[in-house]
Amino acid sequence: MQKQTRFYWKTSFDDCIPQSLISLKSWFIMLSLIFVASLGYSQFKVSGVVTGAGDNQPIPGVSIAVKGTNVGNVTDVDGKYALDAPDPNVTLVFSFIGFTTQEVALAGQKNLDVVLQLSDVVIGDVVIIGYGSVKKDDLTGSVSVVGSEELTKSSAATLDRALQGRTSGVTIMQTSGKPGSGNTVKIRGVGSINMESEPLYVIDGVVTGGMNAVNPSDIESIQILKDASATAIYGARGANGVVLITTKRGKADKLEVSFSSYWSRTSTPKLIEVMNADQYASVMRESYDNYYTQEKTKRDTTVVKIYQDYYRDSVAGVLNGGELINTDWQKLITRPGFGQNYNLSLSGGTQKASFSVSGNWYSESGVLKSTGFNRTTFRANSDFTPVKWLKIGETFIYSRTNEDNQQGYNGNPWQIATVASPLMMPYDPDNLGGYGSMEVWKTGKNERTNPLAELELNDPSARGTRFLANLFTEIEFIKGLRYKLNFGTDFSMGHNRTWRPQYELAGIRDNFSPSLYESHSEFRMFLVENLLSYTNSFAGHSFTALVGHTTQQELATGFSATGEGFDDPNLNVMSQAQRRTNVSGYDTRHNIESFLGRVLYDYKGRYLVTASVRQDGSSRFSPGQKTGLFPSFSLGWKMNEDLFKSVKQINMMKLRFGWGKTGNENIGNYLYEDLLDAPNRQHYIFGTPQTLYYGASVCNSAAATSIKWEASSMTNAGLDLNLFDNRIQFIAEYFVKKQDSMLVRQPVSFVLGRNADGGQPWVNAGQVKNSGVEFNLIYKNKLGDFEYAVNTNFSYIKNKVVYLPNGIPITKGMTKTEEGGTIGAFYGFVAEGVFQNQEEIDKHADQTGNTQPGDLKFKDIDGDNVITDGDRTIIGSPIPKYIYGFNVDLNYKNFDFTIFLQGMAGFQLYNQQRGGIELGTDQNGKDENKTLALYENYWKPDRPSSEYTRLYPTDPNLNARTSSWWCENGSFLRIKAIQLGYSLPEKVTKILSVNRARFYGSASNVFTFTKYKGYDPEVSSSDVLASGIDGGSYPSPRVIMFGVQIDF
Amino acid sequence: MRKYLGIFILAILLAGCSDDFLNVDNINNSTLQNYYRNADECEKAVISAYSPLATAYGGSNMQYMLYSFEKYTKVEVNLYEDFLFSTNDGRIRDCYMYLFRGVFRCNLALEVIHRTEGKTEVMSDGVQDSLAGEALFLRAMYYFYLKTLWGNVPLVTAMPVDPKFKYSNSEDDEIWDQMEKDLLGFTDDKMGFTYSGAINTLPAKWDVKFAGRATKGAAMALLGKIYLYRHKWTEAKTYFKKVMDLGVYSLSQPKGNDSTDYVYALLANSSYVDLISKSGNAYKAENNSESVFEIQFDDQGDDFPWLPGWFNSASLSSMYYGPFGYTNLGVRKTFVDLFTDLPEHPAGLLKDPRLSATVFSEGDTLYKDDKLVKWDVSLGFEEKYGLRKGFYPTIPQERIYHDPTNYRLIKYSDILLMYAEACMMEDGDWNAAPAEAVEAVNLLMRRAGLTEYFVLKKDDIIKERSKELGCENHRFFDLMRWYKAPEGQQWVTKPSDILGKNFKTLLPIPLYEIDVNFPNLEQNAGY
Repeated sequence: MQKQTRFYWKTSFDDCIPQSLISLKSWFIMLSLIFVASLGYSQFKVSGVVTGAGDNQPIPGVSIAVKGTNVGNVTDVDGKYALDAPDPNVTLVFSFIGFTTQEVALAGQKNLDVVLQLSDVVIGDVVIIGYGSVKKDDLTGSVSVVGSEELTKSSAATLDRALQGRTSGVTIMQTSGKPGSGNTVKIRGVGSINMESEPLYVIDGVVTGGMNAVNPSDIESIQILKDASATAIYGARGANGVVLITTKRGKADKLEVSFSSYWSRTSTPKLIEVMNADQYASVMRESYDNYYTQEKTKRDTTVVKIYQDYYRDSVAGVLNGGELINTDWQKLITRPGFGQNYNLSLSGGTQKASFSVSGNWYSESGVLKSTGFNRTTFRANSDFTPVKWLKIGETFIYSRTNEDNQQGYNGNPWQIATVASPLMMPYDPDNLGGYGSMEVWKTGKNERTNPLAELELNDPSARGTRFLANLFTEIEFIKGLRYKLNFGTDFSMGHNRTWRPQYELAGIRDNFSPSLYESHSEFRMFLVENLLSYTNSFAGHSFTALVGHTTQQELATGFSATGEGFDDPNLNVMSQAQRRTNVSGYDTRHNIESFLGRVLYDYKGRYLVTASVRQDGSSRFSPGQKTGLFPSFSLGWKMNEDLFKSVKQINMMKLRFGWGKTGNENIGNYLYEDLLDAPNRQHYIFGTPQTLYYGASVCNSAAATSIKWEASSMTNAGLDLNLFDNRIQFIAEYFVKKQDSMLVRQPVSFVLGRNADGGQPWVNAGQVKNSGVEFNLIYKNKLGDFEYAVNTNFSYIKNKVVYLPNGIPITKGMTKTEEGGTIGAFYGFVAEGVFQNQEEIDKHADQTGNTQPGDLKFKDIDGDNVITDGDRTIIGSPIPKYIYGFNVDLNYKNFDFTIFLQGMAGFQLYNQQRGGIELGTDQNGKDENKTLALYENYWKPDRPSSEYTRLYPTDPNLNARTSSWWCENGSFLRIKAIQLGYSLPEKVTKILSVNRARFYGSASNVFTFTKYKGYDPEVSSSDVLASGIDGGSYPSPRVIMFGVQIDF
Repeated sequence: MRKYLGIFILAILLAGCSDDFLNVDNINNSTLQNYYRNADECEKAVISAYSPLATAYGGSNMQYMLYSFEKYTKVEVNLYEDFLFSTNDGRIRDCYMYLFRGVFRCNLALEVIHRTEGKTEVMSDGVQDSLAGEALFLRAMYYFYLKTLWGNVPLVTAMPVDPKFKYSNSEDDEIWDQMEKDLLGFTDDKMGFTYSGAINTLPAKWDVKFAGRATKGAAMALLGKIYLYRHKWTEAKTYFKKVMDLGVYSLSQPKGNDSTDYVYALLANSSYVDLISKSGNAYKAENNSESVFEIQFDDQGDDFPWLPGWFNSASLSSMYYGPFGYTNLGVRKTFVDLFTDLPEHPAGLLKDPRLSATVFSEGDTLYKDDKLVKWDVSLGFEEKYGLRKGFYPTIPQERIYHDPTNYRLIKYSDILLMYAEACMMEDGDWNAAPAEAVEAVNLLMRRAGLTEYFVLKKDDIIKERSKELGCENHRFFDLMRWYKAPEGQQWVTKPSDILGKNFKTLLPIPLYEIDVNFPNLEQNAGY
């Protein structure tokens, strides 16, 4: 019996509320009673108009409170207000965001007009916290804010890149330098040992995943909620932090048109120097000579002849039409990339309706041939206030992305380019398709495919369409009591397609039968939120209470197919395929239902309390384990108002303390069931004639039968200090985050019948502690026309595995996670150097291979005089301890200058790529190309080396095993961006009738100070048990750009 | 008005929750609990228990390892032939993984066949026994390879329940004992069920549409092998004799006097299409009378070839070792030198037809895309001879990774030779085998048109195994069996002479498996 899942509102009271919710239900009723009780009576009518100093325009929405009571009102669109005061001698308090709060004694006046003064720090002063906002000064949790100004300066195409290094406690690592590729964002360290330590993203109230579809210039502000007291309102999904994104909205009576654009050129900052054909042939000859000398009787000259005869022929030009074959693959597969970005936005409105629309087109061609990305976005936001108690608004974001991705059908082209044979011709008209192929008698045993051919022949592309919308209605029933209905949707479609024409590249790399792979996926998310809030203040007490209920549903469907055999390569659609194979599809759903409540309270604006609770239920967990409760509280104390009121230099000094519990449900669907594989996936043949019979057994992922919530608790203490007329702003924070019953993908024994990588069920296991400190220091000043601002941030994070079940470590390939250590620490042998002679080998522990002088010496850790797996130990940690950023802004008259540096320190990277190309012995026995450094330094009896090994076609001593030899310091400091801008003086802009025109030039990824030998020290992985392993990633390119911004 | 609206919304808010909302049905997969409701579905559990065998061999990893150990064949320049490998070696790990996947699927099949809850129909005892018999046969087969290659690996005879369980090594004879029980029958106390055993439940012959399924003869042959490896000579002899007496198996005999008749009669045992000799005689290839158990492959199935039995039904052998793929394999001169010139042959052959049925040498004819091509040295890898067994006729180049050739795991000729070996071991005279052993070997001599033996010695059996089953991945197991025989009964005393100085009797248990079972599972000696 298939039960259909429902997505509608049940109106019956009795059967639908789970027992666990009864207490919450009574909270609702109690709170509702408070709302009703707060409706008051009044005697004295007063009215007036509130205007702003400066432009003398009326300000709508100013809240007016009768001091010491809960009576109050807000101004209407014309800035007018009317109020029933309990007494003609009360004091009225006028407050509005961005203006200084003003207290006026009524003294019997029936009409009171007030002019509000602008406060020092405008707009950015309000911080969006989940489901509401709070004045920055009153913040008690740990929240970082990045404004639109800062984002604009980074000139980055994607939002996460723009955020990189901007705030403390946030680690953003570029997954690759590939155009359009994403980043991994980690807030306050690595929490659970699972693949999903990404934070939660909320775009204009729509809880969603990822932010790459958002155009950075559409962003008004980004708030990063870091501590649990701030994120607990997102309960189950708050454990890894929350990123709130607010897009730009229109302002009343202010029509703005702006245009901006930039053009960029990208280049590869670093290529790895490898051997040329001459050097390659000689190294291979010597390598085989060593082999046949050592093995004596086995001498066979076939392979050596390849490197002699073929190379000689190639030098003589016999083989390549008179030219020496000497292919530099890295040079061949790269090129300068170009990017362009155009952005047009329009905003404006009246007191009753406002709008903001923008369009953006961005395109980039990658430094790797045949890679590129383009994106079109369109955004429209509008707000309507038809009557003063009703507000309706919407956000609408559409994006379309197109990516030429080149996943690398036969491996990563960056890696292949370093190891492919330089004796292979890039082009060869004799081959079908026209590209040079690897053939034993020509290119040696090197089986690496022509990387250029793969880039140019195969045509993979990925298209994505995303539609994100939010529609809200806000009703104010009585003063301060607001109801908000929020309906959000995130709809995206993806279409991937890879066309592989007919070509010949030798062996299995041949593609005699043209093929087409196509997949289509659709993701739909619906979110319904009902929020009720009440704000009031009396006698110095003010509070905002919020209760809410949300439901969210995610539906994902898709299918894919491969077509084989096409008569006409121009007719390359699926219906033209002679055979269609690998046809598959899926349809999954994921539901979440939550109740939430929060109270923000302060007394005299000095003592601040926030408390929240959320109950989340998720369909992802096993029956009986579906719901979790996530409470939090935080306290703040503005010390300066009690202790240092007379000290003028201290503008604000606030102590904060918070604690909260959050969860994590970022795992797949249906994991608690033992699933069977799709019916056609397992089969065997019987009979004459042979017939395929289908089987049925479990699929590759083992069930996580009793899986439940991961709960983490975080304690946070902070100090905010503003000094010398707010010229110095200092924030210090200390946090401890403990992740209990963390969700771990546990490697399981092969006895369970699964793969090593796929059969790892989720289990709740162990406890991880992340603790650390964060500092943020801003100094701003002005000397005549010269303005400057320095913004630095620094974080120190310590990651420690506190407990694992039965103390048994989790070993996963090159990493080991054990109690007392860090997550995913590198685990291998300690290499002590290179053996120089037989005597040294004899003296050392037995390495159980055919160890020869010139091989690596491994440390005998367990002292048993033989090197076995028991001699492995922790050799490094991929988790950066120190993360810092440094930003300087200078303004002089019409010039502005920004330099931004970012760095990480205190971690190691495992340079797996170097392990392949800087070793004289070849673990795969595949004659792969090596680095120039090896060529110049490899060990030989008459040229000993303590850094490089001997030459040998295989690797009998297993020099390539996971060892400290390939573990490098990953610390780096990168000049991330430099920008110089010039704005046209007012005289000129007036003539051109524009408000502002700015031109700038910038460079990013300018220079990296590092000792790391790979392409790029920014190595990231989505799997925390395998992070920091560098197999040759797409390096971050250096970008030079020129841009223009014009506001009309 | 606004207040009423408020109360209305508040009411909705309070009502808006539903327990069902969090219970989401999965429409993508069946589950272990809700499937296997009848005989058809239980049969599917058994079918999926066959495929890991195809994956291990068809994915070529098993063959790569075994060819490397053989010393008659050479696979690239690799460390395997010197028994130097990392405990983290991917190929060794994959073989171990596929074999244990096979064990797991057998255990799953046995559990669901006998499960009563959730069944929509009552399975007859006959169907239940026969299905269980296949699963038991396959479990013994998987453990045969695990035991002989890796030694005392964990013995698991039930569906694992706790994914976090840490497995330990089995005791010395535990696995052998269990394999015997699987084939002969036993009472499983844990499941509370008595199995009749594969030999007693499997049919001697399947209907033609099920050719390739495990049979009584295959189960007897496997039991005979187990006895042979356990040095229980009399029992081994008895079971090989039972296979011979079943009346199901016979050698593929030449039907004419043409030289191709002699070669094709042999080559049919490794070909994927039936062969027709010059004189027009047809020789049935796959699942012929000589086949006791073979892994089934065909060239259909999906484009993605890497995991036969998972996505695909073809093997990768042709691509790795055939003459037009990577050609990663050569046959060494030491193998060819086993064959001396013949003084006379009924078809006038100068060499033993088993040599031509095994290797390509200079000037031999190959088929490449329907064209005739001569074998030349440059096609081979380093060695002058290519492997013809399994690669004749050759696979079209564009289908090179869709090799349809069945892999013959147990052949009748192997049974005859093992029978002779068991007879000789039982008898104890290595210089003159008993008459029944001589006759068994002479069946093979006559089929190839060779001089018969009057006196059969130990070294003759060693040599005949090499010639008859050359390059079929038996040699490493043979050498190990002869070496591990009890003191004084060893036919090979120093495998290091043949297999090199670093020779080891067991492969390393994959490091992954040691790590996940830490601290219970111990590594084999020497790693």
